Amino acid sequence: MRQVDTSGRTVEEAVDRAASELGVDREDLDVEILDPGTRGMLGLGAREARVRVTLTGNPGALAHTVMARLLQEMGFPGAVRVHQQEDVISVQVSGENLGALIGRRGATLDALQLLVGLMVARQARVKTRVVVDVEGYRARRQLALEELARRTAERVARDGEVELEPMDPAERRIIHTTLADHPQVITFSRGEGAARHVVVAPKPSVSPAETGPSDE
Amino acid sequence: MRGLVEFIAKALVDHPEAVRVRQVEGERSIVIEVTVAPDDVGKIIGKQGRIVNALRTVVKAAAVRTGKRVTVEILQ
Repeated sequence: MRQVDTSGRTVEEAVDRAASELGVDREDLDVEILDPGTRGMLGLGAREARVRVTLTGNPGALAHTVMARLLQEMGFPGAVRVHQQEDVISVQVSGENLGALIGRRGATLDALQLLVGLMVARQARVKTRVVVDVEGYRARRQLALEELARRTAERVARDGEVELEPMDPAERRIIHTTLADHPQVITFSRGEGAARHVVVAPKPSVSPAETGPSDE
Repeated sequence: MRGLVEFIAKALVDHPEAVRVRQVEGERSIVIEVTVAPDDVGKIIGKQGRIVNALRTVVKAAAVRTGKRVTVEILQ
């Protein structure tokens, strides 16, 4: 759990300062008063109040706070919903005109997901996976990729090997998973970095060891 | 834009009190300069710049409506 020490003219002020420093609501903090401070007399002997705050609250609540604050700072009004399932926190944002939050091929969405995931992990000091989706983009993209995988498999069974467009690891995994049990084709990845892509090939009758389906 | 960067930066580092964010606004561009504690530099840049690039992507999305080019620099 994350802790910070802050000070202020009063305990109230010190706690507010801590909350804004951590970017959370006051309700998410446990406060220990290190020094209540004193106003002094006639400006003499005044001492600042000091507090030590500890972030409480579960990672899901924290993810909600972080995402809502990000939207506010970015100037995109949107509603945030969080579902927590085992070690995956799913953050869903809905609203109007949020296309800029998705970006080209989900690039902005992936950046948001990385940052929210890190912010939650660093502050809650727990290991969780955070998935961020805006207006159901990821869900739609998954359906589209599954459909692409099935159509490609039909083509491969008929005409032979097909190389798909480069995709990120999560997208490649959807293709591999969709075709994992396909009777006529195998899948593996080829290329490095941004050019890495899935290859769908006919299943060899006698499968040589080096062409097994790759696990990413 | 400054508030957005400051919020993200403070949540990523071990010493949020050491985070300083300066915004220099020009006619067509905005430059945001971020300073963090020396041992937090890696936490905000990430392996191969992964974290700072994500930060830039998010800032760029937020900057669309300002019509200005926004760059984010981590000073060291």
